[in-house]
Amino acid sequence: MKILKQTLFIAFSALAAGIVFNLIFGTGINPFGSFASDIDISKDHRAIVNFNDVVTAFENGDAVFIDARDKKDYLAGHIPRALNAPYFYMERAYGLIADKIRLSDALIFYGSDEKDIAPLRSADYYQNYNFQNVRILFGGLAKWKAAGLPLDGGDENGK
Amino acid sequence: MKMANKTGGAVRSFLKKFSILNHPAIQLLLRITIGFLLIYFSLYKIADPAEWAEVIYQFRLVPDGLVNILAVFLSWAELFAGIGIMLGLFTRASALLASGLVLTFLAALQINIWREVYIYCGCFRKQAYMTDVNFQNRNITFYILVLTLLILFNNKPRIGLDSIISKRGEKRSS
Repeated sequence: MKILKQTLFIAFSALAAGIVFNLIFGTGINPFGSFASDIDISKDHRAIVNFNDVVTAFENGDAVFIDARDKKDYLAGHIPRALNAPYFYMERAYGLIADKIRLSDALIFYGSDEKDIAPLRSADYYQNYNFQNVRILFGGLAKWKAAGLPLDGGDENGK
Repeated sequence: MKMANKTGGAVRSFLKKFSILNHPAIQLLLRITIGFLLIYFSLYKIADPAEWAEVIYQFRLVPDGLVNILAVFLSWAELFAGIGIMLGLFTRASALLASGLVLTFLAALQINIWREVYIYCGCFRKQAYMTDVNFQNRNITFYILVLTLLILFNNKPRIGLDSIISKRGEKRSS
């Protein structure tokens, strides 16, 4: 029983120290807040901030769009011809789309909105697999929708 | 409770069989190793809590509202447990806390290995991309758990602050 009390004492002390430290030094997260990434994707060198470039790439078919969101979000509506490679199941998803993309292809990843880190991490992953022309649609599908561009609700192969 | 007693019994009989592991010098070495590892793991999480919160978020095991507070708690608990184990202060309680943390991490890793969830981080390398890393982490975490249990279930006197404090207490009472 004594050991349990001591363990609880250490645990609560650690929690208190952590909260105080984070509140005083402002290390980037609010201990009492919900998780939200503070990464500014627009500052990433792969981010396409100029939306016209995205539209041009789409219209000319110059790039393969990859939806990094979950399958159910993808099925609910995605950029036409986009492939689905859910970020959380990256390795399995890569296996499913690997034969549809080539190393020389220009890949444009997108997520739900500008706060969604899924396309950023997906881009890291694909670069690790030697895809060199990897970009990120800054603003994600929210920006696409806001521009009034068409959406597809097809299957995960983009058909 | 039964499971904990069973585990404790198994570890104790193991310690009896290999009594060399109970030797104060060996225990000290074990404590320094585990303490160092825990402190080392905790420091980068404390220095960059946002990245650590992202890792917890990626495990997809807790609601978004609990991710930040859990990130804060886990990193500091790891630090406190590491310091306690290393200095021999509340040694068994620190080892119990460390075992709980390690066991939780092990369970989370195993669940995500089964679910094939891709996780962008490991304890040893800040940027890890392969599921293999999950396996690697799981195996290393398992060894750490075993070593922590060896500290937790050792009832023999130790070199450390606990024994200094209890000796002083005895002197005062006599």
